[in-house]
Amino acid sequence: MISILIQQLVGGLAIGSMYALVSLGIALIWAAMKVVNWAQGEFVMVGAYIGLTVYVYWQLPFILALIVSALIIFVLAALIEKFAVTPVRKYGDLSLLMITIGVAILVKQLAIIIWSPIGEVFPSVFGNKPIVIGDIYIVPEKIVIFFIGLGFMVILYLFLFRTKVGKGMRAVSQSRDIAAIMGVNVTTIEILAFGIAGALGALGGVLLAPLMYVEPAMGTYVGIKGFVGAVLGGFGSLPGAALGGLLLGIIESIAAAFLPSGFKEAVAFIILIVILLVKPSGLFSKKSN
Amino acid sequence: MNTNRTMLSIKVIFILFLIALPLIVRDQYWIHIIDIIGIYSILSLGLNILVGFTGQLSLGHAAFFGISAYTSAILAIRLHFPFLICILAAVVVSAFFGLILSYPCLRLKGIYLAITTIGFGQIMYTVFVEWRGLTHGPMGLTGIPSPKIGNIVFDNSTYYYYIILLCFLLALLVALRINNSHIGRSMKSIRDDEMAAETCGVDIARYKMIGFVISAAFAGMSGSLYAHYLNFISPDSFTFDFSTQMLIMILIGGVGSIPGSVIGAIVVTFIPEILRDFKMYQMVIYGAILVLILIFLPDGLSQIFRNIPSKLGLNKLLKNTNTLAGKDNS
Repeated sequence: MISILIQQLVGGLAIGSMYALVSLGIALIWAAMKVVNWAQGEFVMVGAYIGLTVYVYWQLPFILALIVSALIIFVLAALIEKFAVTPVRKYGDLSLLMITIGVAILVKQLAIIIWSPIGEVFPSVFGNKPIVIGDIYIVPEKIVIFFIGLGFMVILYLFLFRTKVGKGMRAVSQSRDIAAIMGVNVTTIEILAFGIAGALGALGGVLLAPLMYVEPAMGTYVGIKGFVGAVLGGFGSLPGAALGGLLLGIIESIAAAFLPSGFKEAVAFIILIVILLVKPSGLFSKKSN
Repeated sequence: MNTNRTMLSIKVIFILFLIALPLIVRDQYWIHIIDIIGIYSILSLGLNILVGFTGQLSLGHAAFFGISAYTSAILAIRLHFPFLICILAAVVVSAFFGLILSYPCLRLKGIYLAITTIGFGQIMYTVFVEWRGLTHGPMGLTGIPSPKIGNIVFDNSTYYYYIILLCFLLALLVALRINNSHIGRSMKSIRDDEMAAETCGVDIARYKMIGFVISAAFAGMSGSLYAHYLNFISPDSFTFDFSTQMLIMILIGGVGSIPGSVIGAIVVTFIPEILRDFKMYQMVIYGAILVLILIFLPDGLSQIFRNIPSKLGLNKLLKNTNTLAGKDNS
C-alpha cells in the first residue's frame, strides 16, 4: 500500500514537474501580457516531435535535442506573438483566446503533415530499469526528469529576478504603461515572454516524451493539464503555477493507482472544480476574487 | 407599417425557401451537408445565447451535446420510446445539467470560468468512455432508430431535413424572442458591465443561470437530432475539439448575432467540404482561414452582411438587418 503510494508519488513528481513547466509558460504569458495562450500545449507537442527528430532520427545527444527544440519553439512562439496575437489584441479577450485556439489548430495540423498522425514511442533516455528498495520499485528516469524540471524552474527564477530583462518583464506584468514610461521596451518584452513560454513548453515536451506517447493529440491533452495547473495555483502567479502543476501530476498519479485508469482525467477536474468552488481564484493566489 | 410588411414578406420568402431547399438541391450528399448545418445552427444559436448575449464563456458545450445524444439514444434503444419523447427528455436532461454547471460558474469569471467548463466537458467525456454498461464506451452506440411518425420513417436526408427545419425554426423563434425581450436585455447588460447591471437591479445570478439552462437546452435538441440522424454516436464526437469548433462557429459568424450563428455553422461545415480536393492539406488550410478571419474580421462574417446594404444605399433595410443582428441595443 505504502510502497505503491511512494512509487506513484515519484511518477507524479516527474510528470508534475513537466506540467509545471507548461503551467509556468501559460502563467508567464498571462502575467506579462494578459493573454490566455491556448497554443501552449501545441508548443509542447511540436517540441516533443523536434526532440524525437533530433534524438531518435538523427541519433544526436539528448542535450542537443533539448536545445534545438527550445530554440525552434522560441522563434515559432515569438513569430506567433508578432503576427497573430498582436494584431488581435485590440479586439478583446474572446478574440484573443480564439486566435490562440486557431493557431493551435493550425500548428497541430502542420505537425500531422510534417510528422505523422500516428503516435511514436520515445525510447528511454536515462534508463528505465527500476531500482528496488525493499518492495518499492523506482524508475531512475523519473527522478532525473523531475530534477531537470526543477533545474529549469530555478533558471527561470534567476532570469526573472537577477537579470535586467527579467526585471523588465516583471515590471510589465505589474503595470504595462508605467513600465513603458520607465523606458522598458514593452513590445520586445512581450515577444520575449511568448518566446520563453514557448521554450518552456518545448523543454517540457521533450522531457515528457520518454514518459508518454509522442502524438499530435498530446498537445491538447498536455495543454489542458497545463491550464489546470496554472488555475490551481491562482492564474498568473508563477510560484503558484509551478506548485499547481506539480500537485496535479501527483494527484493524477495517485488517483491512477486506486481508480480505473480512465477516471484519472476526471479526478483532476473534479478536484479543480471543488477547489474553485471553495476558493474561486485558485489555491495560491494572494488577491481574492 | 411599410417596413413591417417588408419584414413579413422577407420572413415568408425565407421560410418558403427553406421548405423548398431539398427540391432545389436534390443531390443527397449536399442535403446531408445541409442537415448537418441545421443541427449545428441550433447548437451555435444556443451557445450564442450564453457567450454572445450573457458574456459567459463555455468551452465545454460538447458535453451537453453528448449528454442529450446519449440520453436520446439510450431511451430509444433500451426502452423503445418514440422520437418525440426522446428529444423532449434529451432537452430536459441537458437543461438540468446546464443548471448544475451554472452553480459553480456563477462565481467565476474569465479563465476560471473557461477552465471549469473545460473540466465539465472532460468529466462528461470520461463518463461517456468509461461507463461501458450504459454507453458501450469507445465503441459507441449503434442502431439508434430513425424517427417514425405513423408509417413514415424519416430515415433519409431529405425526410429528416424537415424535422431539423422544424426544430431549427423553433430554436430561431426562441432565440429571437429572447433577443427582443427583457431577458435578452438583462443578459446583454450583464455582458457589457456586470456591476452596472447589478446596480440597475438586474438579478445577475438568475440571468446567468437562465443563460446556461437555455443554452444547454438548445444543445440538447441539437444532440438528440444528431443521434437519431446518424443512427450512431461515439465519445469521439463530443471532445474538447468539438467545443472549440462550436466557439469558432459563433466567432466566425459574429458573437451575439443571431444570423451570425447560422452563418458560422454554414462556414464551419462548408469550408472542409470545399477544401476536400486539397486532401492532406485540407485541415491546414482550414486552420489558416480561421486565423485570417479572426485577424481581419474580428466581428465575424455577419459584419460584412451588415455593411452591404449601406454600400448599396438600402438604408431602410439596414435598420431591419441591424435589429435582426441584435446590434440595436448592444
